[in-house]
Amino acid sequence: MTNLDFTTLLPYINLLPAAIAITLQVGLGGFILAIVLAIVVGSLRTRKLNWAVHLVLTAYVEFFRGTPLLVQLFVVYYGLPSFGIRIEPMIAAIVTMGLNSGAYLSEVVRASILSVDRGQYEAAAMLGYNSMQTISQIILPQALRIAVPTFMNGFSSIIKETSLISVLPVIELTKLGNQIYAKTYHPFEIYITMAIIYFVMTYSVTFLAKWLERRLSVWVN
Amino acid sequence: MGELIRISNLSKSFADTTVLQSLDMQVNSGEIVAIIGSSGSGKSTLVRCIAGLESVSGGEILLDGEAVVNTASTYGKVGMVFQNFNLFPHFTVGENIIKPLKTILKMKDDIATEKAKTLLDKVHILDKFEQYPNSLSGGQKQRLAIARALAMEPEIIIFDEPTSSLDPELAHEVFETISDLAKEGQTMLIVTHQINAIRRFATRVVFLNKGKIEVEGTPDYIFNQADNHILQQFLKQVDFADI
Repeated sequence: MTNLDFTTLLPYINLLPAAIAITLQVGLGGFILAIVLAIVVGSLRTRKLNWAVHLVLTAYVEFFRGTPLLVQLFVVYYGLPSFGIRIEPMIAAIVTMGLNSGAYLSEVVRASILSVDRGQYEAAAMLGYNSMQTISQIILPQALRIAVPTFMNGFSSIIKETSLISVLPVIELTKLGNQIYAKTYHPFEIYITMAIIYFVMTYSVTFLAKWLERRLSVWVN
Repeated sequence: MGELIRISNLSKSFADTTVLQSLDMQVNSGEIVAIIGSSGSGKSTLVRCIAGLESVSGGEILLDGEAVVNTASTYGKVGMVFQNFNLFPHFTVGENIIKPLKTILKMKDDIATEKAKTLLDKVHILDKFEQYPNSLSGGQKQRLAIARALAMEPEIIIFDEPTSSLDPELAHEVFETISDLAKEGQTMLIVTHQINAIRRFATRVVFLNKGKIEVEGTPDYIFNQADNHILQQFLKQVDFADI
């Protein structure tokens, strides 16, 4: 059995903060984009739409849910330059993660909106709220509270999925692990360390989710 | 008392089911009209059509002389109090009144707050101002719903079975509030089964049967004099408990 030697990682420890920062930047950037997309697409998909808009939104949701994230990353970063669209690797990563997660979360937003009682729309209409005011001030705040736990799961997933962007020229945690492995040949020590760092990040999100749920549930029956 | 609502030859169907047929009715300003009838007689559908929440299948409803086609056409004129309250759960008690005043009437924050406090005091729940509706009893929730409707200063308030989901004690609280409004001359249309409560303040009672007005008149006429077999049967069935 190989002797474990975590000290081999010490010379590279100063590289960790930058890699963690990139992981968090992509995770957070992708998540913010995903939330915006999810709210817009999810809200629109609860309404009667022009067929062309409906088709575009459905195609977006189904395409990003029906294809692997890794392939999507390849298409955005390596494929789009064929059409003259060249995107910085960080931007490509954030956009792809956001588009992918936004497709999943838009369905959560849609289901959450549909679960808000019909009477809320009627009460708002009788007070004179127009449909835009009703959705933004009455329905979405209630729907998003329902969606928060799934949203926070989505954030954890994005953090974990950032490991896939190691296929792009971006030195995030997994890529850094690969590079250290190539120099030290201590895979277990490296990858278990990386796994622990990912776990700490996603587990922190769980606490944040619980705190957020408690705060938002003060008015729930 | 000017004419506020005129309903002519109104009919309403859901798929193959006819709920209202050839219904004519009018409501004048200052009247308190109670609509009674057994389940499925079309009471709620009638008031929902008047409020603009349901489209009509035939005939017309004129509100201040203008046709009601949707809630936009009743905005500012009709307030609605629902059976299930339909309060906004994510707003505090105060915000349930303040937010619509600011959003819809563009009222300034301090004026809207003052108005909300006055109305909440009127329905005796001012002490709940900063709480959320989930901490209120059923009766308090319904009184908040009434205050919210009053805040928009509608010409008429429609109550769709406002006490059906409340036990008698809480229903009594709500009818006390409605009774206070009656004294102030507020025009109201009330769908209810609480015969004894409406006997006290309704100016007219309309008895619906199978989507048509079977008989209408003063409470005294409906409850003591009307010689109508279907009405008599209905009155025997409803709850006469003194609330």
